[in-house]
Amino acid sequence: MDLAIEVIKVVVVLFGVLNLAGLLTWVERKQSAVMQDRIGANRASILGIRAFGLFHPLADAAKLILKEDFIPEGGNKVLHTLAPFASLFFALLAFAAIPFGNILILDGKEINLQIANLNVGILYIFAMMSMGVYGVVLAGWSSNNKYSLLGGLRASSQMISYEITMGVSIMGIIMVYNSLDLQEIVRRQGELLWGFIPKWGVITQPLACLLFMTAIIAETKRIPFDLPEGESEIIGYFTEYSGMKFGMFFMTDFVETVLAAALMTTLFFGGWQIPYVHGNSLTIVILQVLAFTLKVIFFCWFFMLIRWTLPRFRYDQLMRLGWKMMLPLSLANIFVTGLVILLWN
Amino acid sequence: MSQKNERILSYLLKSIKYPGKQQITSCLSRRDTSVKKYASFKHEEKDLTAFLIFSTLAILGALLTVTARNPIYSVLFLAMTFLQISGLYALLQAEFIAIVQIAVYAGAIMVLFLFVVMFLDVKEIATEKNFHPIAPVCLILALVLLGEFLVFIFYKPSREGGLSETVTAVGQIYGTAENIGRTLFSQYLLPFEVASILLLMAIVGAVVLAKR
Amino acid sequence: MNLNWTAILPEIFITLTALGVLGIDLFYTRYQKDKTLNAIVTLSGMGIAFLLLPFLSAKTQIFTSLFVLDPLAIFFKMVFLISGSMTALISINYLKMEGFDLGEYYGVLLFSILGMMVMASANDFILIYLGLELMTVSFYVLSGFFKTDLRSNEAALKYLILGGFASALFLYGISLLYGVTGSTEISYIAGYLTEQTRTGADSVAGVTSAVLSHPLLSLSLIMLLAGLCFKVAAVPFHMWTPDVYEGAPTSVTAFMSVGPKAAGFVVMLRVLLVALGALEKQWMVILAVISILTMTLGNIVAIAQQNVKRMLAYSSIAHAGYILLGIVASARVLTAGSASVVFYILSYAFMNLGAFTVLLALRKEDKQTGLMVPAMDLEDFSGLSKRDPLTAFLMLIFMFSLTGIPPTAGFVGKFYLFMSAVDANLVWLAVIGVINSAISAYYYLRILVYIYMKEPKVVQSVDNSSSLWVALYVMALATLLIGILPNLLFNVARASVVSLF
Repeated sequence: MDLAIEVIKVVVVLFGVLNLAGLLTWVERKQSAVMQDRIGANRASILGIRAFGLFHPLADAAKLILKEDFIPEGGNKVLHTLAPFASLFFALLAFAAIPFGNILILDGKEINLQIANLNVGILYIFAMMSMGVYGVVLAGWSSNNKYSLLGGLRASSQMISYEITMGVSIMGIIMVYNSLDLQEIVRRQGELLWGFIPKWGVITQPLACLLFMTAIIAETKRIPFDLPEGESEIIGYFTEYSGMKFGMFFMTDFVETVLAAALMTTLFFGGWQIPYVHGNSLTIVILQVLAFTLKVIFFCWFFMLIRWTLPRFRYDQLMRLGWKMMLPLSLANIFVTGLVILLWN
Repeated sequence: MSQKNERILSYLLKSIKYPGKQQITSCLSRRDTSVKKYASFKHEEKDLTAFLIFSTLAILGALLTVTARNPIYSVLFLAMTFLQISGLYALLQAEFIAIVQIAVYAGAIMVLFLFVVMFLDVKEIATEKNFHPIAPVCLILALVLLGEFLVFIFYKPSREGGLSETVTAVGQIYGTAENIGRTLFSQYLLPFEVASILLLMAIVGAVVLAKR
Repeated sequence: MNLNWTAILPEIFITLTALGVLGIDLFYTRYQKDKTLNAIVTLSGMGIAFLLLPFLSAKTQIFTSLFVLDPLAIFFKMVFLISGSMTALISINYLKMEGFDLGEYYGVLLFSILGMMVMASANDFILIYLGLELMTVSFYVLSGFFKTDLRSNEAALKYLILGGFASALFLYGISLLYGVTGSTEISYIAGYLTEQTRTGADSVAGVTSAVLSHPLLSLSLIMLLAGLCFKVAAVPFHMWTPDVYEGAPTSVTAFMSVGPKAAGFVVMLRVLLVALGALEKQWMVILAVISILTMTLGNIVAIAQQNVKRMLAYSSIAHAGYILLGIVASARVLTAGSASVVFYILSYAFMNLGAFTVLLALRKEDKQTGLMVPAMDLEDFSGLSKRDPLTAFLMLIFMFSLTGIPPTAGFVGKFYLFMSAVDANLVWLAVIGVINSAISAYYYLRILVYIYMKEPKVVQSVDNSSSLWVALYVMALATLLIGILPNLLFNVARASVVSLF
């Protein structure tokens, strides 16, 4: 019975994440179309039903699976194959620590709506995200292509640089909510500040929220930080990939976007909390899960909005922003937060 | 399954005489006292299996790190070893250290290793067997060292008692971030600060040597 | 928790000075060629820390159980600060001449001194290890400081690889010791092992306790010794010394032959005499063998050297052997033995730094380019007495002292060392030491032969910057004064070690 519940949780999360990621390919096209005053993807149809182009993700998947799988001459076959798997694997693993609902009490049985309840949850997610770098580096190296290699190195140094800011900006949240356990952090965000403002991360840590959002966009390698891929002018680490292996990188991208949205939600926007609503009954918990999903979808959309609004950074600008502006700012944020907490008590 | 485990366990406990023993024992025997909160299947019984898997893979990874001809593989196997060691930490209730091990060693440091290997573009090391003339001496010394360690591991004191009793079972909250933080900023405050100065010094040194 | 902040005040000062030097370099002297300001700040920081030490010495102060400030620690911190400030003084002009006048040099130097100071008063293996690493990492950087000099690069790389290996061994030893005793704290380990000795003695006569005879304990002892012997360049672990000393900038070599060695020995005193005092039968034999090997090899190989820097490197190996002899003796005569060790380290600091400083000050004309380059070979010293009698005379003092000829510090130091060996019924060891001193006379006095009895072969010049000469005078005077009035200092040395036991 217990095992069944665990399995159900895993299946639900994987199902949700992968479908959302697939859907995002469509959202991205449609969003760009809206912003550029076009109609966007609407050709794919089944029996004449077009459904606003919603069948496009399916068509894409079919195309990618049917394409030839190509490994460049002189490339390392093993690592070339391993790289996309590593990327996707670690991106998906990170979801294990994200709470998507409160503790549900069903027949006196506590079910925690989170796959793995770790008391170092945040760190676990960071660890998994940092492991994701392997996929990128290996893809660049195993392609036996200098442009791929440089792209891989660019991508990984970007990820490592912004990981630091990301980790440091989170410290404020950890200090305010006094825990590394994500479920606990979300629960504390249900409290009220001065009796009426929900104590969400964005209210207690506005600067950290901004820094974290910037850093995580850089981490997911999306515009304006998409130099590692840069399809139009600079060549990225998965140049030599085709077929479903490319598809996996493509998917990783969107899975990471969902992860970024989920993290933003969990850390700064109250996770599954609905302001002023508390309880563990089935109805409320279902509503909360719904609220979490909506928040995540909102942030996915918001990232799309940014993606189609801003131009791309240059590499030196990217590094300067990361090391000389965001890192000092996030360190200052820790200092100020500590001071405030000290004076508050 | 569990019967076999018991056999291996009792064998291990009988033969291994080293101070970490108590920790493993405590980890294994905590099944009566531990408070189960959310996890819903008994993973204590699987601890021994997990320990054997992690340690075997760690040793395998270390061996492959040394023997792999392609330096990239060496780095990857080393990363694998670190992951297994992090698993061992997790078994010892040191969750924080386990995660930090992944994030810092496997996630950051080994990637820098990969960087260096890629920048240097080290292809496969020449396959010819050009051993250094003193290689046999090294081999003999290594075997002697291994022998010594085996003697130490299986050494039985002539009298009972012996090793310190201060290495005791650790509690469930022993390895939590809160606990580590508290210890680090009270008892080990000074070493912590010295370590931070050491890191600063290393950064300054690296910049000095690499500049221009 | 009640923290006695005054106990770490000197360390705090050194840290602040180091950060200050880096800050000055960043904001003030960044675009200036001349980094004298950095050196001045460094020196004044060390001076303040030095002046603070006597005020803290009233009684043993403790900053958590890991850090003690006892007379021994204070004595060694003074040694580090003196030799560090001498190094800073001799570096000012040297770095300018060599074209590597970077402000970070002084920062890194201060960090290395901080590492040594932490080692000197650490009462816990974790702190010892961190201090050791801080010191060693600084020296990795310092020895490779001449970035465009291939030999400097080689020195840094060799030191890094071998030093990392030695540190790993040391750390392994610590972990095994922790496994056996359940603690990393030196005083706890000492108490625990002593208690075990007592219980062992109580039961059956002749049967030691299970812990004391446990091979893990011996293994950890061997690993700790290996790590420490590497730092003090004792024989089976001396391979790196000549290459690193030769390749590193001479000012760094000068400091490296004194500071890390002294720090290694103070840790050795604490670890062997206090923490593992119960195991003295084991480590005495090991150290006696190492001591004999170190003395003999260092002296015999030094004879064959034509390069003075390399010769001094081997000579510093030999001196490590003499000091180890004192540690062996102090297993039996605790106070006298360790006091002679402490005394010798201070005398050695002055005379060795002095010898290296003369080497650093001497430059010769390169025949091809006509530029003045550092003089390294024995030939370059020939006829120095005619060109610069004062420098020649100072070199004479230092060489006499290194050989052990009265009335210099080296003589008194060796006298105390060998006397303590005799007191400890180790006459044969003392005899070996004396024979070795006689061997060493050959290569030390050979330099003097070149200086006084040969005609100049190359165009020489001596660095005449005032900072260097201040340091030279101080060191020469100290070498002579210690040799003439040894009692004063020996009493201080004796008082400092009494607190250990």
